Amino acid sequence: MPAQTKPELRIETSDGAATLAVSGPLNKNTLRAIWPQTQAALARPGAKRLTLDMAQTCSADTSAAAYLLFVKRQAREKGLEVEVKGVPQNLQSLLSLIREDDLDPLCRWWKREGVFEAIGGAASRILADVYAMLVFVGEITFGLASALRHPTRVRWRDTLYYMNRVGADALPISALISFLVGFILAFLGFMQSHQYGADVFIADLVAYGMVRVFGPLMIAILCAGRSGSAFASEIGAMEIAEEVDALDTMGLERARFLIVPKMLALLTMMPILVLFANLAGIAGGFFIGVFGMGLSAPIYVQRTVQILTVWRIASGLVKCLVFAVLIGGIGCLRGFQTRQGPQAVGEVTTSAVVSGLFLIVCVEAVFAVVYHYLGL
Amino acid sequence: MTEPIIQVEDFTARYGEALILDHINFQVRRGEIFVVLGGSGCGKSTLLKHMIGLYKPAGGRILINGQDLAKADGAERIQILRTFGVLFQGSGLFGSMSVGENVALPLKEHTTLPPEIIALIVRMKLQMVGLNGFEHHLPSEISGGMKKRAGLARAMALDPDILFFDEPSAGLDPVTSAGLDQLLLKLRASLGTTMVVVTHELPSIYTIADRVIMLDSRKKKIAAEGKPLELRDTHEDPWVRDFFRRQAGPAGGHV
Repeated sequence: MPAQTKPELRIETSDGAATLAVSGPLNKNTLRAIWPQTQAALARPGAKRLTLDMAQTCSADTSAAAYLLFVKRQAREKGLEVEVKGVPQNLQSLLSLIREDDLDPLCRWWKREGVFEAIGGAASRILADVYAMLVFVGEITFGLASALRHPTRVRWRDTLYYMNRVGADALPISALISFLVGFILAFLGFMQSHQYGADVFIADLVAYGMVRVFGPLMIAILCAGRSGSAFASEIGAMEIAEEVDALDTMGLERARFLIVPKMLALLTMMPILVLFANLAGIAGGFFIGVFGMGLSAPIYVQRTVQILTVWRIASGLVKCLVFAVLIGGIGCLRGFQTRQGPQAVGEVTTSAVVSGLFLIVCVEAVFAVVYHYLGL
Repeated sequence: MTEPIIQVEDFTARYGEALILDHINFQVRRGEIFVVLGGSGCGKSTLLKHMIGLYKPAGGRILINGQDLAKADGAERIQILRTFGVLFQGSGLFGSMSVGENVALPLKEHTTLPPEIIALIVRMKLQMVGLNGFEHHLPSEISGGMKKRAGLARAMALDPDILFFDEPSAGLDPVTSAGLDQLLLKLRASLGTTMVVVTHELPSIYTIADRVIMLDSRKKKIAAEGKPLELRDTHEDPWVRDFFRRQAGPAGGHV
């Protein structure tokens, strides 16, 4: 007789008793062959008692043991009496390692969580996140307040280092981006205002738009991407290397060491970056207005100066201070939330940028309304 | 005795110019627990990494079931790789997957088993290593000893002929480590799995090892081969006897 390469399942039913007889090699590579038949037999047994006969099986492995357990449980769930006979020696010793009753009901863990479970889980995570943010806001406020009271205890060397990274290093890219934004604004404005012969108002649009919205917004987006993410990954790596725990156990405030220098750097450098960005944006608009659309340069400058009141410039700077707190706060918070594992730092970095951007846009919307009613 | 399942023949390992192991020969027999032993930096882990095919030998060859992993590729290589499982020193669990998914991965990728059976196998393997009910946990949520055991469950998922262990007790407390030793003995007794263990934990060696080889970091050779108690009591080299008695030699030993 040639060696059998696939298992076979014979099903015999006689007065209320069904027998499933498996023969041939039953293992991880072959089990699939008798699977549909097995499921069909278990779905409609047409009997009160079921016997699984494995005497003719060979080269059985763990999957054969799992098959045996599966048949047994399914049959019991249908209320059948089950008997298993002819279990090969190696399967018996394998099964002796397992406490059958302790295996939870069939495949429960394999199923994904339900819709309500998922919604509930997400809601409770968001609540916990909001709570963590509130606690953290307290910690930051306390840290900054104590920095004001005891300026000598601030780690100025770290602060200067972060100021360099947050501010000076970001200057070229922020100037370029702002220049292009001014450029785009001028183009957009031209397409509309040209229809009414109001070309000269492009100067107003660009200057006002940069100072009130786009200067602070572009810098905030840039800093969230550059600095917020860097803070999160830096603190995350420290968290994994247990450096943060070391600070805590030495009785050193993490706020003073890790948060305050970063926050001070953002709070001082972001307004400066915004001023540069405003300038670059207006230059971009000027470039298009004067060289592209043939407006007169002195008039362009005159209109720009007219619309730029101190209050308007200041309103943009106030907004950017709020952005600085958000970006620094979220960056540090996410860093401290790092768990173990290789992808942990990547996760918190992404999360720092995404939550940072989300909060920036929310705050921007609030400011738009508030400034409108203040008549700025 | 039984036939060899792993044959290391005239094997030489190098990192660039540095010679790590120089023309060594040994065999692992089917069903035995074989321990590779030696001080830090003697090339234990290097040897293991060559045996499991991560590196290619600089000379000689390593046969698993008579097949040379370094020369095989494509389907043949996969077929050889499926005959063994590896428990890495840091357990090597994928952090993005739950413990259950980690164990299920090789089953899903390398077999055609239906999901219901895979789920049961995963539970059985986890129960064998004493991790019943931890399927949903992420590796970051369980302790070091549990990670080792979860890694072992994953290494055993495909019922391999051979299990390789790289420093299984590293970073474990003595009790957990002893528990792991008992687990290995139990698995070998019921499944007949061949085990190759790289370690320098003496208590563990006395408990589990059928045979050991001891690597010598100076000569880059095998310093001793045999049963651990015999080596401790009767080996001609005093350095080997001292090592097994956990004593520093007259000159503080050589490491």
